[in-house]
Amino acid sequence: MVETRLSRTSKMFGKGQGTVEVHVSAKDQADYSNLSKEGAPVNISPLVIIGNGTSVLLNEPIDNASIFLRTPNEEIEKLRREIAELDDDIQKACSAKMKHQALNDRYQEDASILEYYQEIMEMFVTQMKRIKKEKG
Amino acid sequence: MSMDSRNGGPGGVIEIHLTEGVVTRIKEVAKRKRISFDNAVDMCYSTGLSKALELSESWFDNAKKIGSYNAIVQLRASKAEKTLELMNLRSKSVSYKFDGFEEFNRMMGSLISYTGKRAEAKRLQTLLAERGIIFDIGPGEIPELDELNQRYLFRKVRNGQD
Repeated sequence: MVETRLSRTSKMFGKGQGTVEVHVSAKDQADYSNLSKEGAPVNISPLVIIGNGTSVLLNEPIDNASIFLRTPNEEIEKLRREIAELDDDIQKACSAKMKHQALNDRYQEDASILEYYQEIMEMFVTQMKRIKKEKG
Repeated sequence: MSMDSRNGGPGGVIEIHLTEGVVTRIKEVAKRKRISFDNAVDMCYSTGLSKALELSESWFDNAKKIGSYNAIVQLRASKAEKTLELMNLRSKSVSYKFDGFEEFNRMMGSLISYTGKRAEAKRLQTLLAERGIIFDIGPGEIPELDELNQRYLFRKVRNGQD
């Protein structure tokens, strides 16, 4: 039974590699999500995960050096760099926001002034039409 | 390697491109556990993920031991806070830009309408003047109309933009 399935797989993986579908449980999905969001900087590419899984199941040691992407101190440095970049981006976004806000305010101000003169001009047109009519 | 979550419900399916070495090892697992290759793939993934969680915890234990844990937690919180702040700023910026675009178009329409009304007033003023009636439309004349026209109707092209 196993041999039959393996031979079918061998055909599928004729060149010794290929794409497989992995069925992931809800718990594993949640674990993966948490690991990628808040976990330690561990290499969690699916291929590495499967590779580590084979090592565990074959009772072979796992090469920790290839799994940990950064030491805690390197992680601190990385976070500091990212925060500095975020500070820069925040400053740029703040300038852009202020620029757009100022333009918006100017358009609104111009619009309200124009509205005032538009009303006066409309009133004048109505008055002049009336005068023209009265005077024949 | 490609990963594609295709099932948003409980659990799901992902696609993983396996290398030759990993395929050989999975086959070995399938043989030893007397299960199919497909089941071995699922088992290896689940086991590997548990191991990754275990290693993640050990990494944090080590961080605690060397006194870096609190700094990492604080910096991560700060990063999340700043990311949120940046997203909010960008969102407001886009909102102002969009509103500004709307206001600009509204202003353009109003200016065209005002110019039309002003032309009509001028025509009527001339007609009345021919009949000896003086009507002052000065209070209805918006100051710096040319500047407004330039700003909203006849924008100068700078560096091929605008």
